[in-house]
Order: sequence, then C-alpha cells, then structure tokens
Amino acid sequence: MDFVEALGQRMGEIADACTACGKCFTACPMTEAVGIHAADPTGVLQGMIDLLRGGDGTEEAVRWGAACSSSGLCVDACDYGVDPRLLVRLANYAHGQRRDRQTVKLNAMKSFRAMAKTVRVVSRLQLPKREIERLQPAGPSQKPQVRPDVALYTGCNIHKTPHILILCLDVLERIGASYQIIGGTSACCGINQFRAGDGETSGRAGLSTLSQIQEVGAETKVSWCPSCQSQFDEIIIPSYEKITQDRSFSLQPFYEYLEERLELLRPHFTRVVNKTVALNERPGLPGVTRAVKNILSAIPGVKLVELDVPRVGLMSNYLTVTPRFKEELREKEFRAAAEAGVTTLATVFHACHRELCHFEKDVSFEIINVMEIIGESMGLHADDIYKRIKMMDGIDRMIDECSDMIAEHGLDPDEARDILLADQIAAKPVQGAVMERV
Amino acid sequence: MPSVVFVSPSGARQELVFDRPTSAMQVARSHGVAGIEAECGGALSCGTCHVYVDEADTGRLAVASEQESDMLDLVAAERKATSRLCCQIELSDQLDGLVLHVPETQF
Repeated sequence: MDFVEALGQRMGEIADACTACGKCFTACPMTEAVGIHAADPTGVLQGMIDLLRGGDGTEEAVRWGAACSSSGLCVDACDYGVDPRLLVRLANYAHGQRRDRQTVKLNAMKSFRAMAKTVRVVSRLQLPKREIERLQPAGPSQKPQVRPDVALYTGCNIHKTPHILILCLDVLERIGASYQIIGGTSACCGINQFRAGDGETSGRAGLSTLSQIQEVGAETKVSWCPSCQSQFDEIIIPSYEKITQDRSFSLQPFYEYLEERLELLRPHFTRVVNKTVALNERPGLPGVTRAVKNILSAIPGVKLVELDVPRVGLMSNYLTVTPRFKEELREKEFRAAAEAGVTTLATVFHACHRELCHFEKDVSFEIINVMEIIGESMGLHADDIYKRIKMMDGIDRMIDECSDMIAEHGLDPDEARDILLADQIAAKPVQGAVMERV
Repeated sequence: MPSVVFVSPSGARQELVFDRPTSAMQVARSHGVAGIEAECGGALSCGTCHVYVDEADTGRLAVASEQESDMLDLVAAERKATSRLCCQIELSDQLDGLVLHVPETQF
C-alpha cells in the first residue's frame, strides 16, 4: 500500500462512518463568514461524503472544505466517533485531486517553492550565518554521535521569527535536555502539497521527514508548529501506520513537553515577571493552550487574564480566506485586552506572532510570544528582529536595516526586497483565495 | 577518495570528494555549490536541484524513476535528455568523476 492508497482507504472509512447528521457543520465558526450558514447541514455533509467517494459534492460542501480553519470546534460535536475536522480536510483534498494531474503537481510545487524561498530569505535577513547554522543544520553530516534527549521538529515558518526558536533551544539547554533540530524546508510536513491535492508529493515529503525524525533516535520527539503537528497527527502518521503497521511514532507539541517537565523548569524561574497577560488563544490544539496556561501560572509575577472573546483558527493565517472576519476577531480581542488592563498580549504560535506583533505600536499593551515570557523568567532573551523590522515605516528602511545580512548571506537585494515586502504586507495564505461574500 | 564535479553555468568546475555513499545533492549542499538550491532536502518535492549530466556520463546512471521524471517536467530551466535531479543520484565508487552541469536557474 502506498501513501495515496492509504489516504483513499481512510476517506472510504470516514465516508462509511459519517451519518450526515450535520452537527459538526452547525458547530463550525467559519460558515457564516463564507456565506453557507443557511445551508441544510445534512445536505452539506452528504456533499462532503460524496467528495470523499470521488464525486462532485455540492457547492456548499466545496466551500466548507476550502474554508476550514482547523479550529477543531467540530470535533466534540460528533456523536459517531468521526473526526469531522479530518473529514473536512480529506474532502477538500479529494476536491483538489479532481484537477488534472499536471496542474495539481505544478500548484503543489509552486506553493512549496514560494514558502521555501520566503523562509530562506526572511530568516537570513535577520540572522548571521553562525545563528542560521544553529537553527537550520544542513543535514545528516551534522548528526550528533550520541543520541539526544529530544528530536525537535521545528517545521518551516518558525524560522521567519527566529527569536522564538532561539528561546526554545535556550530553554531546553537550561533544563539540561540535549536536542537535535530537524526542520526548515528540507523537513517538510507536506501540508502545502496536501492542500493542493497532491497526495503523492505530500506523502513523500511527510514520510521523508518522519524518517529524518526517527533517524535521530531520540527518546522524545517534539514538534513546534501546530500545522505540522496536525498534518502529522491527522494525515502522515495514520497513513504511515497503515503502510508499515508500525504504531510507535508520535510527536508531542513543544509546550506540552515543557508542561510535563514543569518541575524541572520551576527552579529556573528565578526572575519575577511583573506582567498581566492575556493569551492570543487558538482552539485547534487544546492541550497546548492548557500547557501554556500551566507554565505561565508557574512563573512568579505573571497574572493570567481570561478574555471572553471568540477563538477561531489553528493559527491566525488559517483565516486568510476570510480577512474581514479575521479583522473583526482581532479587534474584539484587542478591545477586550485593553479593557482588562493587560500589560501583555502573548501569542502562542509563530504565525499569529507574525500577523499581530506590529500592532504593538497601536495598542496599550506589548505583544510578545509566550516563549519570551518563559525566557524572561529564566534570564534568557532573544531579540524579536522580525517585529523590529515589521514596525518600521516603509520597505526602504526595512531593507536598509537588513543590509549587513544581505551582504553576509550574498542575497540578491531586489529579490530580498520583493520577498520581504510580500511577507510583511500579507501572511502566506494557508487556504487559498478570499472566500468572503460581500 | 571518489569525487563528483559540478560545473557552473559560466564553466567554473568544482571537484568535490565524498567518503561514503551519499546523494550528489547532499555533497553539493554540504559544500555550498551555487545554483543547487535543494529546498526540499531530497523529498522530490521542489525540483530545485536540477542538473544536466555530462554527455559522457549519461550511460553511467540508472534511468530516472517515474516520480523523478514527473518532477523534471516542472523544473525551471529547460528539460533536456540529460536532465536529472541530483537528489536522486546516489554516488558511489562506481560514479567516481561524475560531471554534473548546473543550469542557469532553479526558480
């Protein structure tokens, strides 16, 4: 059995298990924003099942699949043991597969290449070579002789906000955990290719990365990125298990790894961090939210404040298809944070940080990442160069700020300018074109 | 030790030795060969490690797999009969002295 066949088998199993009751559709926070909230839930689910079986589906089913922000609010709604988030993702993949093979493959490759180029350039605009080599090791030749405690799978896009990753590594070192990084674009989870409908390439990329992580031989396999985590949990690992019958591979989210070692961390929380903190929560990985709250609650001086606002999306960039909705959610959260008198809005994930950090100049609180708070309590600091650049006025100033790094890495200044401008103006769309209806 | 030669579009030759079986892409990456981007690290996802095998060496390589051939259809520079993805070229003593030409562009 190959990867595409394994996926096909799972699509069949889910189509068989779904009763099309429609409760998951009713629980979805995206339907109103994309104008399908009035559709008959059972009819939409029947359309999803048709897509899973290779049919055309319905217009509403196709729209729902494309709009999914992986919030996961549908998961608890199902009474029949189906994971509706996975059902929607697979139906969207099935729809993507229906395009002609060459177009699917070309779209997948373009999507991957665009992401890879942006990660390469934006990370190098911020860090010197020695830091890039620490965060993005070149590959097998740099494997350690001794098995590390942790295989840390970073994913790709955290490298655009490298201060977060630097702090992750510094924290691991502080608690005495040895690690080997697997990440950057050469260890892709395959999500871009999957969304484009190219299961073959997605599987090749994801399984290659799984193999790289296994080869490290670490006892604990930890991942940073929620996109990679969900791609592995929902797509790559179950398919790998079907292909190999090996059920020993799993990835643990980084914050959950730290939470499990809270007693190791606690003695290192030596600095009082006088901050009143609201979290930029995302609902897609509830275990991560729990872990972050438990960790922050253990830091002396930190006061956590709950904001009563809607939480949508695995990360902020999962709402790219509904920009007005995303903006409404952001404004509600900022207003609630200001009214609660917080000193700090803490982003949990890197993509949220990229999209929110520069608003700091417009609000009454700082916008930093959770790892910065953890780091501060341990006497660790890494400059948020991404935010500093993003808060500058105009691309000329930004490029001027990066001129040393452009020279050190031998980057093409025009290409660097174009990539930085594109990255600063808009987050990379995870889903596709805007779907909101006027 | 066996070696592999990368020739830049301007004709500059870079002879690189390798001490264990590895892919030509890995050798290029570890020595920073310009023009071998290899963004996906060998997962056959990006087509940015495209090379032209020297005419004299084409018979020394096994034919490209269907997956490699699919990806070669999408490379940025012209696909020629000698086109290969160097992540799929497994180097060994038998390929000592293999000559690979780097195309003008990978994007």
